[in-house]
Amino acid sequence: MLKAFEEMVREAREAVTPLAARTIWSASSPQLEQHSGGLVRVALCGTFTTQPLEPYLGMELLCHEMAASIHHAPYNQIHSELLSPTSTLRSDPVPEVVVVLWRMEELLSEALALLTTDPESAREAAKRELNEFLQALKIFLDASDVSVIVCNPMRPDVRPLGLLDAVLDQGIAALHADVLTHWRRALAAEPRIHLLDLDGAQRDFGARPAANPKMWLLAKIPWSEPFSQQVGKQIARIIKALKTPARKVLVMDCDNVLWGGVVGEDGALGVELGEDAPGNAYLQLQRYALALRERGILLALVSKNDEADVWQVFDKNPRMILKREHIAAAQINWMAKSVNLRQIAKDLNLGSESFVLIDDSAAECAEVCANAPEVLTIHLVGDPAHSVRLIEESCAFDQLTLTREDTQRAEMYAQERRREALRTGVKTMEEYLAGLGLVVRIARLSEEDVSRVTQLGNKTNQFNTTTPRRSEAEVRGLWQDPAWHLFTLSVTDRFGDYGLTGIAYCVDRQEAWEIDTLLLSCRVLGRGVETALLAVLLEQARVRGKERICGRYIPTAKNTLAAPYFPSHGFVEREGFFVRSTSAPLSMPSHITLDLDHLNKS
Amino acid sequence: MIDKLIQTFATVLKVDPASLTDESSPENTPSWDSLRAVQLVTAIEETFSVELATTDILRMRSLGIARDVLRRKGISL
Repeated sequence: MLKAFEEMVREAREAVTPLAARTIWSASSPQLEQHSGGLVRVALCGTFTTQPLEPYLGMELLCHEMAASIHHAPYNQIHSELLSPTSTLRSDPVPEVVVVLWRMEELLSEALALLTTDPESAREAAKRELNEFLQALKIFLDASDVSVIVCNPMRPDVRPLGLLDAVLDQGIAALHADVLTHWRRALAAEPRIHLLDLDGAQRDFGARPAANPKMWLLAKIPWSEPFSQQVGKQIARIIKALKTPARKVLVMDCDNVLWGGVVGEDGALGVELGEDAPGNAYLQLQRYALALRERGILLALVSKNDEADVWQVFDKNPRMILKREHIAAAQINWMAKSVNLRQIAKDLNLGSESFVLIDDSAAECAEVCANAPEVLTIHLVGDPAHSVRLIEESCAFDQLTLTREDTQRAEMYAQERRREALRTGVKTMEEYLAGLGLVVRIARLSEEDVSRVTQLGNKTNQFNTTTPRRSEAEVRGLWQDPAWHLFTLSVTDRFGDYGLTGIAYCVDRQEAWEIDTLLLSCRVLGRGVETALLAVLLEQARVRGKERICGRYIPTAKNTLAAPYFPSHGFVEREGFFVRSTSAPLSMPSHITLDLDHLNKS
Repeated sequence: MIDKLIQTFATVLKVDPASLTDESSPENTPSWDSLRAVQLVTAIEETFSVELATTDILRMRSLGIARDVLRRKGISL
């Protein structure tokens, strides 16, 4: 009896216990192989038996609405699986994600053998073994177009030194700590590898309930079923972050979220806020919101109140940690929150599918779930002391890279509000543009840019001529291909730096250059930047002897903004392409200064 | 009669419960490989809330022996 995918997802969300998860996976997984919506192929490769992880990984991916096909590489052969061109990891059907799992006991056996007698040599041996492992991972990555997840090691359970183990260099705990640091630094320098924090997972779960000494001896299974379930969930969490765009905005209710009580009744100074309980629970949440802002999450308010009352708290209550300038957008009125969320989306020029709402009211959460289901709604239920943990457990803001654009995002939105203030002050558009002092920097893509351009490419929907979605590995592939010319565009004006706001990828097509990919962030539109980019691309094609430059416009539900782009710059439609001769240059807007210093470096 | 033990074996081995008897073993049940043997142990331990000793696990080479192991632990089916 074939089950609909939606039913399998629903069953997965209800199957909480390990036994239920295994039973349902056993029935569902053969049907998933036929899933027409696309399979995520995951390969598990370990220094121990990986089979127990499969049902938990599969079910958690189903909870995230992903159909998975999970393969197990041969037991304890991670080096040959990574290095051999004919290994199962490189044979059809090739996996999309490879998860490599190891323990110190297997991988660093030489180091552990030396540890008691010669802790220094032990550390040298550990570094050698780890570097060899990292080299194998890099060789594998160079030969394949997959995402690789590797774990860090758990602290071994058996520590003969007893009380002294945590103190001495000869202790296993000390070696484990050094290995963790060395491994974290090595992987931080390798953006193609994503770290699975097994060490943290074991700590959170408890080493004793995680271990399974009997099953280790019988079948080389190191973990209890409940811990295998946790590990499966953590792997799924990373795969989800790989395949789903990160959320960017935390929208906060005010009453009983940012402060205790209701400002409309208690007044701006009467709400609960302070360094003692219960007011300090709300300050804890405010501090957490600020910390999120620092890593690139925008803060917004949506509250059913008289607007003036809410701002009174921000302006007049001395205990407030959040200030007006931290808030990127607000909709404070008596309308439905789902409507207000859509308005905030317009104001911030972001999709509401990147929003997370926190609210203490079950009714409000239900309204948003029903009418704006793309918003992730977190109901702050129970004691406010637990609110921060609820937000963390949602994993809503999981991201796999943190870029400069992220850490500066909130400040850039603040800059934009200041630009708006200028615009309302001047009389003509020309005056405004001239007053901005725009500098457009167009440069060759360099290796450090790959992560940022991948992020930008995958989230830009409106001014995007062909909307291709590419992984970092795919972008890197184009960057290495001599037929492709990849450019980045960044803009600054006198108010600040807009950051990386455009990309253009061109490919050689005999006497023409085809603009395969061209997109610009909405932040920089309407200021002549669009024209500057085309002018530079045209000139670049011309100096390489190309007679023509061409591009396509592939319409989507969101990119009508880009429809007139080529026609308005003198491109003529021919056989599905917009074509322009390179011999007649495009005139640059006079208010823009070009910075082309890094145009021809690679 | 299909009791909880037979049901547990049937779910793990992916066979019709009616095809299982006390004589069912790795030798006469194709899906009972080493991987499934491990899964059987886990399923029995969780379903019956028992812990099986390594010696019990190693000698549990038929459904009948599993039934006997459980009986010795005070679980009669």
